[in-house]
Amino acid sequence: MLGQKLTAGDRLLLVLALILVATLYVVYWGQSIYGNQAVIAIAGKHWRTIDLYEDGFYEVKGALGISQLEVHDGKIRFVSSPCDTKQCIHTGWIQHSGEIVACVPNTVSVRILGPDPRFDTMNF
Amino acid sequence: MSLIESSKKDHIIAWLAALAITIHIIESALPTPLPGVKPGLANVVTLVALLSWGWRVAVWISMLRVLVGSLLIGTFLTPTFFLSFSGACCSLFGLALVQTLSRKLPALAAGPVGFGVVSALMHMLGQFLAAYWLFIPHKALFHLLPVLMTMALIFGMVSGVIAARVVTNLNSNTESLSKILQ
Repeated sequence: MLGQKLTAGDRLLLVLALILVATLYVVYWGQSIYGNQAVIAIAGKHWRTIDLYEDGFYEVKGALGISQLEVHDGKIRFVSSPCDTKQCIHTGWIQHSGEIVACVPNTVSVRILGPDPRFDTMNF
Repeated sequence: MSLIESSKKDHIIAWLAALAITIHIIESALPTPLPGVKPGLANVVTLVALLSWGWRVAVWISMLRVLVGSLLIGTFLTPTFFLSFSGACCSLFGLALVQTLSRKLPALAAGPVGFGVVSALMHMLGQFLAAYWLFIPHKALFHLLPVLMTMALIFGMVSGVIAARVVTNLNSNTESLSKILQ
């Protein structure tokens, strides 16, 4: 029923409308901006700001001992930490601006810097 | 003879505006899942007016609907009214644009569904930008835009299809219609 009534102009407008709506989804619901720097803090105090595009490992001395962080290709994760729950390791890689990973027992936290953070605060 | 001469077009506008206002009021009583989302069936009347009698008649009906509709519901000069008004203005602008382009490029002339979709999307966009500029100037509002525009696209297609049916029936009943309007 609909197919016969559609003119060429209708089809063109429908395609354009679909592209517009799809673009809106990509723009407003898409991935937030990737960060390129991360701030490492110990017991809430700034320790170092690191570049996420320089691959390598960092050893951070916290309250319990040494946490090892890995930076690879714009992402960062905890590799090892002297805590019981290993929540920090299970969080895995983070890469979007505003994202946070922390080993609370060891008081080590990592936050990705960026111009437009996706989250103001987070709680678990 | 009455003091004020009324043309046949005035009668058409009055009839269709009354119909649009009625649908507008009934729709305003419907609950909505999201603020700003309405089926927009009153727009069918505007589309029919545009397709059968031209853009000027459509403008009259749309503006009368927004004005009288808001007066009757009691939202005149409230945020609702301004959203509705900016939506209607944007929608009419979109319709004018599509109609002009359709005349310039007859091979790609739009039909009822095309007009319906453009009208609904422009209405939503106008309403959204008015809400953003006037009432909630927060960037987070834009996260709603994709959903709102999807709804507008669907409802625009639906009202386009309904308008197409109405216009077809109107054309086959032109004689009886002109009798009514005299």
